Amino acid sequence: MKIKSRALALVAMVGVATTFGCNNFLTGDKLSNNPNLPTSATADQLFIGVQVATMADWEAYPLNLLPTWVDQIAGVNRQWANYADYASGTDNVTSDGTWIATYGPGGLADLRRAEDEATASGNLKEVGQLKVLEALFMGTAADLFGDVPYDSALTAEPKFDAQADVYTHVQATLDTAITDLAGAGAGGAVDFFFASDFSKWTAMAHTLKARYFMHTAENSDLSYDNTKLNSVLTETASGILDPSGDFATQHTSNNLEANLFYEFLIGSRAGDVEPSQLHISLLQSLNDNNLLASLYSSPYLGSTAGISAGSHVSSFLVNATTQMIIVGNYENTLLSAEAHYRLGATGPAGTELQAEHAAYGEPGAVPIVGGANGLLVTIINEKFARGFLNPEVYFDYLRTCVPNIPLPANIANAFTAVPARFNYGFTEEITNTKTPSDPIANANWPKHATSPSGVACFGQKDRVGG
Amino acid sequence: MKFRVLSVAALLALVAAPRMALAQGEALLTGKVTSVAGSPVEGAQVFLDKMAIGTQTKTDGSYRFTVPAARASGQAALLTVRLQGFKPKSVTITLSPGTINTDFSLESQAVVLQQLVITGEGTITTNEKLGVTVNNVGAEDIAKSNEPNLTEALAGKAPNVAITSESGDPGSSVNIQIRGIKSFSGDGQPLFVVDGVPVDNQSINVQGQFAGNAEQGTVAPNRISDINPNDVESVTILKGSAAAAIYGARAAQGVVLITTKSGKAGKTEYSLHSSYSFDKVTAGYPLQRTYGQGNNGFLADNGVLNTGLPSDTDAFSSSHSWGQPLAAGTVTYDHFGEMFETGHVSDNNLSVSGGDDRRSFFLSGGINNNNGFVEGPNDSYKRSTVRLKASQLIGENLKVGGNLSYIDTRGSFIQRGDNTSGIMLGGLRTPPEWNNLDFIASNGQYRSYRFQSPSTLSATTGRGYDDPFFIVANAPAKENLSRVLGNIDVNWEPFEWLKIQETAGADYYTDQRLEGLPLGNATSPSGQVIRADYNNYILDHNLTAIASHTFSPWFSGTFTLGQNLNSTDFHQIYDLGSTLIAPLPLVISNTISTNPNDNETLVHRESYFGQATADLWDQLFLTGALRNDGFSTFGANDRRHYFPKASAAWTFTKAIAGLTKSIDFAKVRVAYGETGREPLPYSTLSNFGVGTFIEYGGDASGILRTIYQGQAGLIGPLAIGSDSLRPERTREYEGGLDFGLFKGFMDAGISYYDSKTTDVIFQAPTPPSSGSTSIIKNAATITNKGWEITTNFHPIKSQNLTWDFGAVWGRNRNLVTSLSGSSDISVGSQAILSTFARVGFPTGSFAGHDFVRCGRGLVVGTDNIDADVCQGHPNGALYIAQNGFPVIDEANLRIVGSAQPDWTGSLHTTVGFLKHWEASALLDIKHGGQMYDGTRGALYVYGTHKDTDIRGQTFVFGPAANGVRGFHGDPAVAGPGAGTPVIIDQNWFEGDGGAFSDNVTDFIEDAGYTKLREVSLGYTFTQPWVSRSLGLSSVQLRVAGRNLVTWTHYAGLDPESQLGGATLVGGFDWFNNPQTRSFVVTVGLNR
Repeated sequence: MKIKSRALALVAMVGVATTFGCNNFLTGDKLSNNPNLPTSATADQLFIGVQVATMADWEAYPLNLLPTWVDQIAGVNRQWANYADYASGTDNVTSDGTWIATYGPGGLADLRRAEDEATASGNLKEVGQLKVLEALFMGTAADLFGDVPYDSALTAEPKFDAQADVYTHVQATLDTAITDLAGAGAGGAVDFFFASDFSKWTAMAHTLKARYFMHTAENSDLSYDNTKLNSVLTETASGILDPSGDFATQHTSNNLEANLFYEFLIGSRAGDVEPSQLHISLLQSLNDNNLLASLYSSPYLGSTAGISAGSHVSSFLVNATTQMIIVGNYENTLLSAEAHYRLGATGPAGTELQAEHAAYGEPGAVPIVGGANGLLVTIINEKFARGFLNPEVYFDYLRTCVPNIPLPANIANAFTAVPARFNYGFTEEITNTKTPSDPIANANWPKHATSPSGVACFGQKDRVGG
Repeated sequence: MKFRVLSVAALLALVAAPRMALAQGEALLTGKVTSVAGSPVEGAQVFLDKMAIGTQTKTDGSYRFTVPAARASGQAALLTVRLQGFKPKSVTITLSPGTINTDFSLESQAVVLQQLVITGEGTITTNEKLGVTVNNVGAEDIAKSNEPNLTEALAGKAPNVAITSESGDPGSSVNIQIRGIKSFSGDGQPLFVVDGVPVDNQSINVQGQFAGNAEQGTVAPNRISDINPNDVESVTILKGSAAAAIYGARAAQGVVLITTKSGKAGKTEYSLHSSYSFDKVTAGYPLQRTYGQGNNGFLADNGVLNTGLPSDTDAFSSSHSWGQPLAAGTVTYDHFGEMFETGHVSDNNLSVSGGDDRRSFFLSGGINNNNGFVEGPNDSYKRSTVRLKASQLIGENLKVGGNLSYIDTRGSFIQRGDNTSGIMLGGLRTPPEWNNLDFIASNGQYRSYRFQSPSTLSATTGRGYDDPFFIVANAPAKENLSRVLGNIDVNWEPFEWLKIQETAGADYYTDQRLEGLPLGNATSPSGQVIRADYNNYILDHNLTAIASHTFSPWFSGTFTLGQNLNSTDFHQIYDLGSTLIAPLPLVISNTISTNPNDNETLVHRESYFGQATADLWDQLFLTGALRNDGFSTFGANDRRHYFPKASAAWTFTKAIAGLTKSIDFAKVRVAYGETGREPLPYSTLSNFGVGTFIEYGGDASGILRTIYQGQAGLIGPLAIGSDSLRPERTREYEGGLDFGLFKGFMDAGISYYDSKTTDVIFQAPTPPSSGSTSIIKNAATITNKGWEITTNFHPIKSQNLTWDFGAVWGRNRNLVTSLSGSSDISVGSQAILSTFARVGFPTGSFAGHDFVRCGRGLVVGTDNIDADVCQGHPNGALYIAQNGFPVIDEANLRIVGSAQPDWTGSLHTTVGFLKHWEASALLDIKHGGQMYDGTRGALYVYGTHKDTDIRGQTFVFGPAANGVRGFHGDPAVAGPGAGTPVIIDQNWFEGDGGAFSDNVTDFIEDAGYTKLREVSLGYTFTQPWVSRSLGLSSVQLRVAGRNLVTWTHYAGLDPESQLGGATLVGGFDWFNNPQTRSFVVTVGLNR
């Protein structure tokens, strides 16, 4: 009897073990699936994601190092004093963020996912919107890095395309975008930038085409390719013709929806950057008084790279809802003016410069600086002044040596000039065997450019990684 | 206090039960235990096997206990005597009513051999049979440490068990790392098992949990600190895979088995232990008090506010102290010392325990109240615990028991670390002439040195860096945790040869946090509140059957089979409220916008295990075991995995005649085992998610999310999961020798191990141009090889004087040997310093830039310096540019150091004299291992470090030249500017000479130390008057010190610092809070 009861109990224990060890113990809802995240996304959801990523990329580090490098804003404190002096921020770890943002989530990877879904659902207008952003991302990548993957991007180990080929591909993408924007569909469900006004997307595409024609128009012998300059004129004619069509970041004063540069200024990095003396003086000399008054407080005095000028320095007036123009009417007009100038049509060039000035509500006329090519210098200066925090100011400087930027007083030992490009991102370098060693210049970078007055400037001398 | 102690003593006397007379039918067992030499043996356990009834011998060696009539029916029973240092002895008696007198004479035996060792999952053996290295830490050692955190109490107790405290803050976590790093992810902590149930030991830093910034915010306790050390009977550390394989895929970093105290049969015992501690910071910090606020030698307030709003009319003052020399008579402040006071910890524990032949109980309660050493409020940690452990014998073969603990902790923490609201960061950057205590301006506004004259319109303007006194008083960071730990045990012996054990356990806690930053703070100027709730729920079922059989006089064995099921559910809700509506209260509902997040991870584990042991000729002991794990975290394509182990121990002194004359015993052992580590939950999956983009400063509101303007956006995954993910696997060989000499004079153990961890999981970087940055896969290999020595000497064992001393020593060599083609993998991700896995270097090595030096094939400008300027100069010579300064090598990220020590060890001694006195000390040594002293590097930038007193003076880099003093300590220099005198000033310290440049090497320092970890002197009153006057059996008094002295070359506060807490990789100091030294007084009353 005793033995029997024990045997029964043993059986019971085995039963307990068997019951607990049920077959599906290791699988099930919160075990086989992540209960916190969705497994798929629609084209519209991804389009929203990419739009926010675009705003974040263009308003924040590391892209805003570029205006710091050319002293459009003055890094004066803590790490930003060192960025301004090129003592840090020029390595491949810094550029990694931009590289990943270009290709990864929020960048090309999601753009292509969304394009595929929108194509499948027949929403060509949305495909067009997405392709305009794709061109912006990839064109900027070519501007920053030179040769970059594009044709085979999003494959396991993409090859690097020549910078010139990337620009060609970007032009083709923009052509397709323009076609798609005229096609079927309702576009992305949420369009923060243009509220589903597809004509504005189309105009932006044309301005971007003009931008990249200009970026590739310089010949190695300092002359410009007239065909491309004429293409600039053609595209700008269909480009952003009014400031209301500016492609600019869109913010609210709500928390987590504010301009990131504003958050940088007032948040934990208060005092790291100050208004730049160079930028203020340019705005003043160009008579861009409305812009001056909207960006800075009186008295209009700024600092220089690495060194604060003291307590009398102006304040930034950037606020939570300030829009940062990524592609604007001013750029469209001034690209046309530059093309006209280089084609010898100084009359239209001067007219367009003044028209741009007026279009943004600036009273009076832009004074033209003296000296050789004074009008061209003024056009590029105006673009530099107007393009607050826009990476184009840096790309234009590399191309033209305008404006005349003083070297930082405490420039880092490793430099004798403005850093000439971003190095390839660290992660790409260690994973993609096809990554070229960081070149001094790629095919379409100006190799021997001088300033418009014929004097070599330091922008081309020391390219990072060269 | 005096009144209180006496009152409690009186209370104990009242509740103590009077001695009972022998009742009808009972058996009274009496006798005397002596040594072979005839001296009485005190404290020996005398008990009846199988009946769980017994007592301990008294001072005169006598014992006396009763067996109830119902259980004394004339049957044969085995009466056993056991005490460390003696061979156990058993005699068979006939258990009949009446008095049964049995005397014992015990032979001496090496202390260690017969000690019982818990080996996990219900298995148990003796030291002699153990084929692997296991370290035990007993209750007495834990008590002597005076540490409220049980993990910290293990410091210096076992070789290659590295214990590092986060800081001296109340409630700070303690990192434990056993035999080196074996993974690239997770926190690297071992599995903790309390009374057979795996329990949680996470350290949840609120900032780290969601924003990934464990170096910011406040300290966070590791949850083992919830366990009251006074409740712990012993801690057993299963270090290597050969020991820990029985825990399979959870044991790669070792297993720590905690056994709590149980009641013992015999009279009811009462114990009250109280201690009081005085804590002071261990060191000062060198700050300059010569130069004032400003830049470039000017007394300037040279910043501006950026927003230009009407409220922002007040200028920022310079963040630096590169101003003019302070005028004679200028009042300056000790910005480090003024922040700290003497902290106090009180610890009170009361326990009642006892039992009889059929039941036992242990009831305890404890309150540990730690008022920290930071000047001001909001710096405390209070732990209250109650616990009941009880068992009941049902019939003759079934024993049921339960163990239930309730823990309540209330923490109040201080902002610290890489944090503009951190007290060390703001405090040490303050110019010497600024009075941080005067942080309220005349208009009532909060002010700081960077924002000195706030107007009434500046309430929501950030103060640059927060004033430490303001933040301590106004930025509460609270924790409120309730935890229940418990298990129910059923032990059933249906047959003589079979034991079945079922343990069903649970560990549940809810941990509520609230961190507030008031208006105007530097981190989030419009105010911020973080509310976080963490719920962890572990359910564990463990069923084990152990069969034992003696096949012949020379062959016996056991066979164990078991099943384990575990469910671990962790759920967190986190809400970040921004922009306060009213200045107070600091609660989420008083903020304008909130950013809630929640996250849950559920893991199920199903395991089966078996173990067989064979004891041959009482000298050869073999063990083999196999575990099969199936975890929900494994890839669905590769769900179940085996983890074997095998070991042999041979006490060869029993085989070789004549050896035992001077050798008490000697044992060789060899072992092999495999353990694993599971992938992090959901690593097998790729999901879309809400994108978060953070601006440079990382301000809580400086974020854009793809939930934007009320619209829902998603982005794809950065890391791609893999459905074939396997557990990481550690294979370890271990061998060693244990021996004792000269009749207990000394014993020692030496071990060598060689472990290889393969299939290490990491996010293998993929080209970002492929669309993601990594794929999660099993792809790396890490090796850990090391030696361990433990030795104890017992030179004096006389009646009035005993003296023991010993040492432990451990060396571990950790190397990453393969990354499957990847180069540098980020390990121990944090913002302060890059820490990498790179093939050929220790895991988590520091990566950074060095200056250009000879012999590295470097190019400066167009010059290949090795060919052009380094001829005739040694490799490593510092390259000096034309201007007389060195140049940072921006192109190469070099491995510049590692936190992993060359070796660790400790020396300990205990002296007992006149039976009542006991003195002990523990010296804890860490040799080698480095720390990134970013605090010094940052204070160079700010011009407040004492070293910056040399500003304006002329030096040459390298050795002195032409009568000019050398600078930077380089023995050799080369280059066009070598020997060129330069002025060392703000440009150098703020630029390449400071931590905000890419210069890392200048701040890598040797972080080795020798610490007088513990020293104590105690007296135990056991004289007759104690019983007569106080009604107590003994009274203990002890004075002790902890961390009294630290010898180190480290230039920062303390080489023991682990910013970020219990993390895989340590070794960075960025304004971490200091450590403390403690003086402790303890009173113990026992009855």
